[in-house]
Amino acid sequence: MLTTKIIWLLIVSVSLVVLIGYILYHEENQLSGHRHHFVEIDHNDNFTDDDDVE
Amino acid sequence: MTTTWSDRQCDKNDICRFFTRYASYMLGCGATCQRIGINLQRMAKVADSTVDLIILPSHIMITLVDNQTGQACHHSETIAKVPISYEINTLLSKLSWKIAEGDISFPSAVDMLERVVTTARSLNPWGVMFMVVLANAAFCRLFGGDIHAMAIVAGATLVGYGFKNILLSCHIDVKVVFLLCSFISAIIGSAGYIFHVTPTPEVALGTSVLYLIPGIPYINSITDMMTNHYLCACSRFMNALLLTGCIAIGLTAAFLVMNIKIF
Repeated sequence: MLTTKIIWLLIVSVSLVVLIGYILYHEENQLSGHRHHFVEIDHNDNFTDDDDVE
Repeated sequence: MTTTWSDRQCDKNDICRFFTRYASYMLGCGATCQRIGINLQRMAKVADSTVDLIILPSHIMITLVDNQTGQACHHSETIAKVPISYEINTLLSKLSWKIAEGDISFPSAVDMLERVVTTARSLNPWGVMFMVVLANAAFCRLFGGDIHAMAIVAGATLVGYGFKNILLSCHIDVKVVFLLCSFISAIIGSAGYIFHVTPTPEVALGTSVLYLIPGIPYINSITDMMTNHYLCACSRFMNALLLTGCIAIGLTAAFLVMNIKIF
């Protein structure tokens, strides 16, 4: 059982280190302008009433 | 001002290519075949044309027929490999309405399509991750897990979903991603068995991989089947089945590594 616990701790620790490491590295290298983009398309909502009618 | 695409300035081949690209992205981001067909017919009216759609497992083919001259043009394209996104789906549907209302010229529509498919990301990934973690923990509770089991599932989902995002952004094959994420989540989800912190470890382990289940492809395959798009329905169903198989392999590997004998 001790071996299983050690394997569990090892896998989880490695996973967390990789995850946190990647996030920190990625955040540092990401340009602020590339974080999120919003695209807006406005149209007249009256036309959507028959949207699902064939 | 109302714009039509039926004048000679708009080449039917270009319009056909635009429709194919549009349909390719609609299909890739999780729209049903019926929805794509409706949207294309709506836009085709502006070009005074009718459109026919053939959807194959990896490709899409479109035939555009001019209502006045009867001239037909064809175009085919590989289905876009993009993550399922209802945001892009919605924006593309709005774009089709914008075109149908005559508010947008053909070059602007092409630009708008490119903008939508390359830059549209409205949801904060951290917010999505938080909601996925909450939802999966709630699943654990629904299946009878206690608060400790829910905490284990939340942790397993957080790490697994984080890995899923990272691996997918690195363009690793989606089947490999599902297998790895299922394995990691199941390993963390087995904490109940390893450290005896919950009386319901089997619920924690079972629900730790539920966030990976490809629900939208399964639902879309049924919807496509109901609307007589059998080929696309089978294709989507097989894809979803393969992903579910990868989840099962990852889960089984975690059972073996953690020496868990449930069955």
